[in-house]
Amino acid sequence: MKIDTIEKIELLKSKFRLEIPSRLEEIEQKFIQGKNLSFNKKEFEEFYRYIHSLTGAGSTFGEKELSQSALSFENELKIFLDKSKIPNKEDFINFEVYMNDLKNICTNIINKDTKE
Amino acid sequence: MKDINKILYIEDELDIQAITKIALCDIGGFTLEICSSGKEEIQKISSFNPDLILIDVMMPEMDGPETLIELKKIKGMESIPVIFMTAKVQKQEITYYKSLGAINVISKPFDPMNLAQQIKNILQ
Repeated sequence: MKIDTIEKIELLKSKFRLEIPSRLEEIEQKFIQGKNLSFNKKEFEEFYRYIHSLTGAGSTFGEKELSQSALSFENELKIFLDKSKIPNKEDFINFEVYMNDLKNICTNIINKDTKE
Repeated sequence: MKDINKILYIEDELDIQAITKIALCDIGGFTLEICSSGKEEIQKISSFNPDLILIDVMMPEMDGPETLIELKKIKGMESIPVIFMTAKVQKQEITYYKSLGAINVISKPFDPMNLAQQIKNILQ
């Protein structure tokens, strides 16, 4: 295996970790938007995709805990997506446990990177 | 099955596109053309003339299964093998993908070091 190939993969992993704060910020903003009942169908689908994307990229780049947390959230959201239903305020209150878990894991990764 | 050289890959996630490119070009030695959506793929497919198509299942607008259905409508494309890439690999999901015409499914996350070999094994 060429060293530059391994380096390229490591660079992509680092890039993903560096982008976690901005991804989290976007997700939090969209979560607030949803909580304020201003999601239309397309925006809710977009929010689902943000979470799905974190599930996939997290597992691909070795952030298993992050990926698992995003997957739990994604599965909850998918119940609504499959029914073509937009979650209401009460649903978003129930989602907070997933959002907080995701936030804590992202914060831990960010803090760890800052220390390093 | 004929030798595979040119792979068309449809994936909307830029990070995953980048790591797959390393896995298939740098490690696997394949020629890769990447599309970010099923619609883009349908436009590119005739000019690229791929030997194999890899499709992500979960994409906005046109998802993987929809993309495959549209592809199969294009003359000459029925015989190009298609492999889905997805985290959704329960038995009934795999059966569904195969019923659409996919030859197999690669589960996500994949190991970039082994992805090319995984594809070769499927095609053998």
